[in-house]
Amino acid sequence: MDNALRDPEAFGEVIDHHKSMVYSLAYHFFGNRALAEDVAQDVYLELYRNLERIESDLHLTFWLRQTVTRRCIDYTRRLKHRRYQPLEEVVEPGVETSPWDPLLAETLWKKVHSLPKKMRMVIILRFQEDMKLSEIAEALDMPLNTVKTTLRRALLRLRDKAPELKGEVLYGAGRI
Amino acid sequence: MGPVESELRKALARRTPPAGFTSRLMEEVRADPPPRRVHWRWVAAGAMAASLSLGIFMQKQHSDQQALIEARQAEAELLMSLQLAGVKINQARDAVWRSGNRGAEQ
Repeated sequence: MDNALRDPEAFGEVIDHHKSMVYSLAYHFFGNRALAEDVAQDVYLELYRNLERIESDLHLTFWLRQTVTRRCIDYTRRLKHRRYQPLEEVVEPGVETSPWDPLLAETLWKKVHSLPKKMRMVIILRFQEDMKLSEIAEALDMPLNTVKTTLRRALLRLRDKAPELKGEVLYGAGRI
Repeated sequence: MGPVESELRKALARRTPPAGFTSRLMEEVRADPPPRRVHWRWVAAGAMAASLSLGIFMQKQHSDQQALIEARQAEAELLMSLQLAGVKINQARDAVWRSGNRGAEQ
């Protein structure tokens, strides 16, 4: 599918189709809009340079998810000594509004952001992208059992940090 | 699904990137030079030509060295032959000289 996508118009459509997924993965991971945009742009430029490797639409989605997660984790290593300002309190113009308790959602979002990076990414992939545990394991290059343990621990931590959310902790929606 | 999971889905809903995201990215894409394809056929031909040239060069070096060794051997043999010839000439001259002296004495 490389030659067709090399056309700027076709590539623009690919960007539009996947941009909310790519941007949101980075945004939820960093909690910073500018950083999320930087990461998303890097990922798309890498895609443009590697179009010949993409075999299908399904492979494209998998490739984008895997690349953005790896890029986010790499960025945290680079940012270790630099300070960046999460925009947790800022309501950005592009945020979709839904009829849920915004205060609780914001509290939970902050708690997610305070998790260790791999734990945070597992949670984001599970609940933003609704990915199966086996898909998360593949994307993060982690054993399936490690993903299960990580997810369970992350959910327990979140429940402890947000006592208003009680209930049994499963593997997300129970899909493996 | 428990309340934690349910709330997480809402909190981690997909967000729309800031306005102008695609156009900014497309500018970057246009500024990014297209990846250069590697023509493996030409790379292989170049490698083969290089190894052939190297082989010829090594062969020439070897034959030059061999010729030099042979020339040095020939030079040594010639010098030895000249030395032997000189000794023989001296011996002949002495013999002639001695027989000449004997004739004069008689």
